[in-house]
Amino acid sequence: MNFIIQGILDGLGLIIRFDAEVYLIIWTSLKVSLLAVTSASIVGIPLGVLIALKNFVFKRTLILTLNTAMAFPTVVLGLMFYAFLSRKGPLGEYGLLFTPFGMELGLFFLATPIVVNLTLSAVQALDPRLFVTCRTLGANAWQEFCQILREGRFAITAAAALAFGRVISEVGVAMMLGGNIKGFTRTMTTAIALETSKGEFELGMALGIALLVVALLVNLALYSLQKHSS
Amino acid sequence: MNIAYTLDHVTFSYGTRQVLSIESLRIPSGVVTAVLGSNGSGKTTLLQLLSFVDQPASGSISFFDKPVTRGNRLSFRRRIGYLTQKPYLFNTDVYENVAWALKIRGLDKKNIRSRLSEVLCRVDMEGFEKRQARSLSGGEAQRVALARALAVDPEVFLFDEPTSHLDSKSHALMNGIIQDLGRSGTKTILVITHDYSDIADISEHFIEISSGCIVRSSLDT
Repeated sequence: MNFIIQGILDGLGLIIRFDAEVYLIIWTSLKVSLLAVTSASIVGIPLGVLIALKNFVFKRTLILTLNTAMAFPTVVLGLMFYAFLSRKGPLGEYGLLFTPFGMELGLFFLATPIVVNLTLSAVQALDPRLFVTCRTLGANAWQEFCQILREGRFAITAAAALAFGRVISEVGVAMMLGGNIKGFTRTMTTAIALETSKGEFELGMALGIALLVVALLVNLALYSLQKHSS
Repeated sequence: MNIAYTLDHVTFSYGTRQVLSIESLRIPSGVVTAVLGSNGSGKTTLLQLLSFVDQPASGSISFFDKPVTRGNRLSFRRRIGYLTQKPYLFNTDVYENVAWALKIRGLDKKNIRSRLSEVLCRVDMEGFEKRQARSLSGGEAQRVALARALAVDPEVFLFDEPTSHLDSKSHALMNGIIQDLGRSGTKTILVITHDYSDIADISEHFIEISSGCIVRSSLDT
């Protein structure tokens, strides 16, 4: 038990002393996750609204695929992208493997199905009279889209927040596409795995605490959104 | 007499179930027309077609002698005010609810503000600008929805049982405004009502619908 308590105290010590390595890792995690989720939101939110509003052949199949993609094992996703980005892969010539951009690409594909699916659910949960009201008030397609986003803003923001939570806490994609390179692609989760295996328990604990704080902040944001919407 | 709507062999279906079939109908402009019929007869479907929210499965509709096409549907919609039995108000304050239709038409803030105070006064909702729309009573919400329709000053008003479920004050106010609009002689008004006495003295024409078909009418069919 003393070992655990000592590890937590040492971890807190590193955070309080503003240890450069710890904060660089936190910054890298936040940067790649935020970029991935922002791009996923730019693509996924309009796509989610579109799928929710339009009726087309294979809509159910698409929704089923999106549901499956939400539960996609991150290691498998990492493996697939590794195959594409590795030197022998079709995108190998661009040298994206073991770069922050390569990680963002993989995380983007991890976050997009979450954003699309939860946006779709958010729009489907809106009162159908909203769409009729927008049209009868003379809105064009773009104005109607903006108003749908506005009415569903709490649930749609929650979709992005949940995607962020998933992306920042995953280890498979970050490890396989980032390569855990110190000062370059090392994220909180990959560093925790590495440092703990090396016996650097306090650094692992410091990053674990930081990750929990991020998760707590995301949940607090979600809770306040839910409270606000109700 | 000018004609606002001309319907020719119009049908509408939900899936395979046909709910409306109108061989021919000409609705004059500048007068009040009552739309009568029992529940589920197709009255609301007719109004939705006339608001250009829904499109007929077959047949054609002309609006002021111009055939409705994909290209002009939006501009035609902007000439219509549509008030339903249970209006949807946006999850924001009363000001934003009424101002939205004006904003999307590109009006500037000054014009929006003056138009807003005018219509809110007309529906007896002055001072409610900052109130959250979702906190309003049914009657107040209906009055805000009416203010929203009045704000854009449309040529055509479509009222779908606007006074049902209303308290007596809102009922009287709503009827008063519909009657004022009807008497002006400049607005084309269609009112679905279960209580014909509300508009009997202002409606020039009526259409009675049953099972999706016009069974009686004072108009050219």
